[in-house]
Amino acid sequence: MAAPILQVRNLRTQFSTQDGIVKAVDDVSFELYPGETLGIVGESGSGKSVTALSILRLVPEPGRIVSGQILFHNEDLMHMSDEDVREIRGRDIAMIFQDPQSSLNPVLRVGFQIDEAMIAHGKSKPDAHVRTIELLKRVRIPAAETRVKDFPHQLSGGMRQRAMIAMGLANAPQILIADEPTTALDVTVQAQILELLGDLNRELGTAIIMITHNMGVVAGLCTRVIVMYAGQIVEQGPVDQIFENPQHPYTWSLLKSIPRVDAVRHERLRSIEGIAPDLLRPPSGCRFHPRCPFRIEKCYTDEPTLKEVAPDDLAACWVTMDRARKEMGADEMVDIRPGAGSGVHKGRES
Amino acid sequence: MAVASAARAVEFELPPQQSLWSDAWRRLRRNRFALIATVYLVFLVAVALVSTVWTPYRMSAIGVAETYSPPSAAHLLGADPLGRDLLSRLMVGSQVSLIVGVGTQVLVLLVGVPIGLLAGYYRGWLDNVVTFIINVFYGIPDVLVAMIMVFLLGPSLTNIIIAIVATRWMDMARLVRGQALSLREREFVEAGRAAGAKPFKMLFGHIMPNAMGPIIVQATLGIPAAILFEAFLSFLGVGVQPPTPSWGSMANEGVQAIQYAPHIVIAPSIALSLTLMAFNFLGDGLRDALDPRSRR
Amino acid sequence: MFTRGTLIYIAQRIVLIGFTVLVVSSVVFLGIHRLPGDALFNEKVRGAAYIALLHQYGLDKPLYVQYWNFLVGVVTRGDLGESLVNRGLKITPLVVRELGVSAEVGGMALVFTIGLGLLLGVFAAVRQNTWLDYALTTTSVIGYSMPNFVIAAFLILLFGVWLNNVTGGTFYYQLGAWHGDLGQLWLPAFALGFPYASIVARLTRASMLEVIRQDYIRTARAKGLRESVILVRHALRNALIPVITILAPLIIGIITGSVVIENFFGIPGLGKEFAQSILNRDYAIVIGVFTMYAAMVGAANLLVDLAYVVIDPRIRY
Repeated sequence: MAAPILQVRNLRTQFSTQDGIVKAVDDVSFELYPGETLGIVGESGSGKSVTALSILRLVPEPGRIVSGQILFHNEDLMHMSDEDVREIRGRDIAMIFQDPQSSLNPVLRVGFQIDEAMIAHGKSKPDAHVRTIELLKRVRIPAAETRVKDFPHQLSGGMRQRAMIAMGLANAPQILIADEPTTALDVTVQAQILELLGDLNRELGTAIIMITHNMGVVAGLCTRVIVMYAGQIVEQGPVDQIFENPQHPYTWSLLKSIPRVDAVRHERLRSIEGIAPDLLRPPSGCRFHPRCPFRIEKCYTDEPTLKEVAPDDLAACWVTMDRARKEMGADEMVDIRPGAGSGVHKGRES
Repeated sequence: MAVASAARAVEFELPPQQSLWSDAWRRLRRNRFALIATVYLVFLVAVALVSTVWTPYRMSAIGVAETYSPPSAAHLLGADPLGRDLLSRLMVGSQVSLIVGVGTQVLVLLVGVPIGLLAGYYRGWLDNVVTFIINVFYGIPDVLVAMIMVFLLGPSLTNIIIAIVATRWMDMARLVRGQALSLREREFVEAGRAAGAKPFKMLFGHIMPNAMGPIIVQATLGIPAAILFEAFLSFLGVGVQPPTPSWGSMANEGVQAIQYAPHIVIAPSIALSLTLMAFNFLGDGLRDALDPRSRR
Repeated sequence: MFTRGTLIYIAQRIVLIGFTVLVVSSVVFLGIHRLPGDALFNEKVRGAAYIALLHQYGLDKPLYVQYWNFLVGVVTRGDLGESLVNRGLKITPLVVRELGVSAEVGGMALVFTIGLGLLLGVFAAVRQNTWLDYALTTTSVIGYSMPNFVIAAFLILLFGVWLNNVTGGTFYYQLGAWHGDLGQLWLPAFALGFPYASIVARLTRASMLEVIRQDYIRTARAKGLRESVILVRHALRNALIPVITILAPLIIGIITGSVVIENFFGIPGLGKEFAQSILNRDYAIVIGVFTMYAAMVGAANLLVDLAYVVIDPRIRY
């Protein structure tokens, strides 16, 4: 396999708030290989967006990257000057965001905003104009020549997001980070955008990091996936394998909670009980233990680290689903409440 | 089953709840400027109250000191062009400012709040009429209109208050109308209506209390605006008539003598500035404290 | 930008302004004529001479006739009549000349207000929570809490008295000359504009702070744009929108403030005329000046609405 173009090592990003320090990203490490599509999945507050922002050092105040390395082609972005990081942004690593309505400047023309991305990195104005129209066509916006002069409010949601993608790809970056690009769109438009991203990944060879809370998006687009919970990675591996045989109870619960078309009618909808963890004072031991159906005593006290629990599948769990299936009858469980599988309840969970 | 999940719910800790007012009070207390402002204002009110029964010299007594004399032991702030004690006049002047400031806002509340509530809640033709009137008034320079009004009605404290209220009530009405407009869409209004609450109760029992925050801020910030207004009028000579001292007219008297007796203009100027500043800081503090969005 | 719709809108507004001016001057006209005692009576004119005077000015005619004559005069000839105190002094040319003077001082004040206010506001926003920001925020509250005549008095004390007449000892505008030179006008313009500069600074700061948190600023950074470019091209344009909103009341504030400042400095502008006429009970001039003001305010409002169109492409009429 080729060398990774991006290596994140032991990244820790924290926010200093009135009430204390929020550890949004707590010791996260992963790699990205050229041309691949990596999904980062997790619920709100899991740290996935902050991780993405950290890669480009775009974390807003009062947050800051406390420690860790972000190696792009073996150069650590954390040690680079602001100027150098600025060069990389938009040119080698680009990022697009969730809500194209608010992510585009309402008082500037769409074409101009795309031109800008290129002009900032050295292209001349006329060259940029030409390429912008090309890009808009590439992302399948009809009547690109006239659309160029439009303002964001004159485009539909889907078109705005396509324009954002065009902006992201303007300088043919090696990596495109997409932070929930489809969440604010209709389902049908979502499908189109995902298809577009897939095609662009194949045609241009741009690696994509796709941040989402939607497992379906990951299944449709990504080859590898990272599952995050409470600021940490709980499982990572190839998409097919993880979906087929998830090893971490959280991943398993996520997949189990997706309603199936072929489910029996009267089967209860399943959700993961409990509330999202408090990142100010995270649970002791394994952060998922208050909500985990398969927790054991050790989970309350010792924090698990990522280990290879199956070929290519790294998970941070003391139990793993293999054991849960063999010993706790996970597959037959109807009720996936905390502690339901292992029968372990220990007073206050926090 | 239900008991078990309820029990489990207790296992997860929730942060303590706070009402808007207690939260606002806590935040206001932390605002240093607002606190200092309040102290000053309390002091000012005390001075005003005291001056109704006692001042070092009678404020209209001419010639108790040498004209234009600078501050001295006998006259702490010196004397004005007519030999009157400046300190006494300054003290009485505080009455004028406070009466105008607070009086106008009380009236503005009495006039503007009901009109705004009615217009915003009921909409329809009433709202159109009110909005039209507000827009007409809005484009007119208030000081000029007030000057003409005082000119027509005769300069007296009451007339000044009337003139100021007449030119500034629409700010409050517009604010309240806006509040009513957005509040009427909220669920609790629908709930109240469904429960059969009478219109009066809806307006004053439900909508108004929820709009109190911005209303209080507007009224607090309206006080210095009114005081400034009166100072302008008095400075130009169309304010309260002599011998009643107003800080504005005192400053006017002082300007002529600015070269050799600057204390005459400095004293009321500082009094005015401090008072206006105090109300502005207080109003700002209130606004920040009541704003649910700001985090500090 | 200036589409057909916009031009139609401008035309409609001008008509509306004209209408409003007429209404306003009518109201003032009718209101003032209720007044007991008038300018003429202040003169020591009695008996037949007084009646002759009344007749000469048409003041003995019924009110509605006077009003009609007035309206006709204004609409057809732009004639606002004659002064009652300085008989023979035609009001319209007087008022127009004074408008020029006031516009000059007011214009300077406005430029100063907006310029300084924007600069300081942006600066404070960029350096948020540093001592500089704190200093600016506090000073701005002090700034708009001081009446403009207090600022003027203080400046005079500072420069005129204590620093020994830096402006050459003359604070008074030379009568007869059309343009005051910068050396003389800066003091009144500063006093007039400073309170508003403070307001603009506060608003700009607040607005910039909000804008900087917006998603599109994050996008601009992600594109790799320079911070200065982001500030000016992306942030400021959006931050200006609320500032333009307050521009109309601001202009009105400068107009009202000019009444005090012009009197203070003896500047022969509309404000001084207005105050003097009220004190002299020369209500003919009062009506004339007020009519002028109404027109100015209308024009100012229109300009502000047009400024919106320039800045924010989402707004089209």
